[in-house]
Amino acid sequence: MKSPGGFIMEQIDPVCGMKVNPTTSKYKTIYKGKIYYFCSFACLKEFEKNAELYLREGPRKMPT
Amino acid sequence: MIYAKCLIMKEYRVKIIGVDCPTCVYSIERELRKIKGFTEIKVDIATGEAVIKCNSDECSISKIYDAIREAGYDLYKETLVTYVNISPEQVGVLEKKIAEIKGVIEAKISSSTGLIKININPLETNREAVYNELLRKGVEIKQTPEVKVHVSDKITLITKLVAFALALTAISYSMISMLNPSISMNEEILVTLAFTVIILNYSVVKKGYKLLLMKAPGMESLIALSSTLSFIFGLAIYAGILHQTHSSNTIIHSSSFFEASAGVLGFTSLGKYLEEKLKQKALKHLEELEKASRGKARIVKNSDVVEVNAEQVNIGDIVEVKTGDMIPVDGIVIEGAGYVDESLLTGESKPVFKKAENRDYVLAGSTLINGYMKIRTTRTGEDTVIARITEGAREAQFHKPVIQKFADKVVGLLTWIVIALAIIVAVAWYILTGSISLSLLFAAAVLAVTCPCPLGIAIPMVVSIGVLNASRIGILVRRGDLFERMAKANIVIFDKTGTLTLGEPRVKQVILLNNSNEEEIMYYTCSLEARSEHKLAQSLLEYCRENKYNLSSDVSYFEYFPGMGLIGQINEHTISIGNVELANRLGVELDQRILSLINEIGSRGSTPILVSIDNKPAAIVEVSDTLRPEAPEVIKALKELGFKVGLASGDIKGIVEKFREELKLDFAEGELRPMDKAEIIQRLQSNGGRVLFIGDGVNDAIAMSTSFIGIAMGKASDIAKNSGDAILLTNDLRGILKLYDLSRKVNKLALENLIWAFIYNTTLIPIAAGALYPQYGIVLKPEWAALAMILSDITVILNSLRVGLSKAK
Repeated sequence: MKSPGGFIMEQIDPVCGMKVNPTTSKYKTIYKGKIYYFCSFACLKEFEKNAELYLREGPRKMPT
Repeated sequence: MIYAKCLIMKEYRVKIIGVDCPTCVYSIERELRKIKGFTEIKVDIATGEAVIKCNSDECSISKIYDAIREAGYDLYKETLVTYVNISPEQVGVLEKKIAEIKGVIEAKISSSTGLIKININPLETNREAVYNELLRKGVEIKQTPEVKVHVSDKITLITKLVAFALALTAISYSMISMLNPSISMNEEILVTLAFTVIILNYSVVKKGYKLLLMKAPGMESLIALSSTLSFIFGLAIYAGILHQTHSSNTIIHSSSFFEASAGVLGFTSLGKYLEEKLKQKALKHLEELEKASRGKARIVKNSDVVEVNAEQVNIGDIVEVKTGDMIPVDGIVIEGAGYVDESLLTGESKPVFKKAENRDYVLAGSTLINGYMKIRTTRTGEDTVIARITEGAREAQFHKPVIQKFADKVVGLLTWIVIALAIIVAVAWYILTGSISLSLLFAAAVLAVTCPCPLGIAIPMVVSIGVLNASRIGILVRRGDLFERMAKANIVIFDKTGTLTLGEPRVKQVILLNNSNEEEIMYYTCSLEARSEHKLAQSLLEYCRENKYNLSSDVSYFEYFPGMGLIGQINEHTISIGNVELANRLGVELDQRILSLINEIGSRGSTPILVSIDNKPAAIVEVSDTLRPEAPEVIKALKELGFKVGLASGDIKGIVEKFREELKLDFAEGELRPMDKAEIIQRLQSNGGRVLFIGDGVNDAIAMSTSFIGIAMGKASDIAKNSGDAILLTNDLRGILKLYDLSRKVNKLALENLIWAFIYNTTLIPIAAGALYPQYGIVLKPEWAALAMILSDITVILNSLRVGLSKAK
């Protein structure tokens, strides 16, 4: 499978750092033309709140 | 990486016979706790249906069966009887093998004749499944097994009626001789009558004492104590062992104890029987649903037609249905046509015409009124809509609101309190009057008058009937506390497409941008939309069909973003179809002209869909949907009921604003993704709001689960994938008002039942204890106390039945 951003194998949740399978993940979003996949709704929500922080500093931990 | 410790979790669904109050559940649970691995039991007192959970292999259905029987109850079961070719030494092994089949409670084999008797749990398996499994295990069966259902209804009724008649005779005889002293009373007749009544109700007395010995007394224990102690005391006076010391009292007569004994048992046993019948009547619809999912099916194989049980039909099989047949599977009509009655599923009494040309769907449980059809099976067994409805109705019944949990605790203690009270009453009256007979008569009355059961069934009974009644008007209730929640909700939020609108959008125009070509754009658009389940996708596909635009099968990538749109790749081109938000996130540049075109479409109440190819805007498709005709009246009615009514939609703000003005909504928010809707709901709820969200059960699942109540609009065919606490199967918004009316009625009757049960007990127990005797000389004799008790019990059931009488507007 190929996305506009390139080939998609396993993806890293940018919030918690978990490995996510893009073909099965229900939680995803687009930010600045790129697709991001998440392990949970909580991570997705957290990313939407502060995408730049996670993209700049990398994954931190699971949001509480 | 987190590794969870895996436990074997097993769940058994059974129907327990004889459960009619929470104390019964308590005593069953006590026995079940003795089984290693038992974790939990949930019982619906109204139907006797239970779910038992275990986390060990040691906790088997046969052990559960034994435990339930040990507690004095029984399991609803069917018996399969047949003969097998077997040598005596194989018996033990085969019995073990059969016991391992899912749903088999126990198996017994006669080594001399090969007669095999298998008790099965009809809630988990059926005769055919077990029969096939036996064949699979290599058992040689000599003849077709037959099913014997354990029902001895007629005998039970005759016994109860005879006991009641004898009790009435005993009371009349005793009263006549008391009122007219010239008639001499033959006490032997009374002794015989009372003794016969006890014998006829041996099972009740036995159960009562058994529960008492197990330190979990129930109503039967109180009745057994009251009647047998009265009888023994009567005998003692009759035999001259005890002497009446309070001879001045004209009410108390030695015969009083015999009539009390006969009356208490005679009245209550018939009453309990009638109560059981009333309960069965009340829950008949559930039975109808279950029956409907069991019938026979005729499978067409080449030119032959084979009749099999509905459960044996496989997906893809062609099933033949003739006039008057109940449709056995969910499927698509591939040949023929006819009028189908779907009332059992949707409550809609008007038959629906279904034909092969339209590839119409039909559902198991509906009836072909006239016509002939061949159906290609798409769903069978547990996956059919009817099975989901039945399952939903069952699950909902397990729910207990807080007030019921409290009542259950009270009931658990009440029987002990009453026994203690009876002892105190006996001692106190003996000290006060010196009369053993008077004090024991009061004690017997206290035991007979106490009515713990209505406290236990007050709410579950009404909720059960409410859930079933809802399914009759086309509403599938999935949680028992829905009625309670409906009464507490104060904000209603609607989704737009498919909820406030009919969900049948049409393409009005395609506006081309940047000198693009419509056929090329629609080729890309429809090729991607063909993979989407969104309602708007259907309108685009319809447009392509009408204009004979081709579709590509070369979609190399597809991704759907709820609330925004979709992106994909066809022939190395990246296509995005959706709203402005999607375009912005993908970095598609939208100039002022495009933005004003989008706003213009929105202000007309239509939806603009922006198509971009390789990140360049190519076209705007204007799609419009029709408002549901009933939407304005439903919103008006909800506002009159005091709800704050709003709209939360993924559509652009212009359309949403138009809807707000037209429908006089309190608020309306647009350009929302499903998670934004969930956030709005969360915010409202954290400020004290209790949101009833009505939307699409598939796309709005997050909002649905965040809200206080989630109701999905859904055609019955989509039921399996829909989320929500309830589903409006008729796809008519007036269902919300019907559900609200029904909820009010359910809540009112549940409360009435509970209040009645509390008032009854708190008023009559003191009277039975002799509170009115010193001042007014009033004695509530045990037999009349028992009559009052059983009438109170029946009153609760009859009151619950009134839910069924509610015909929503």
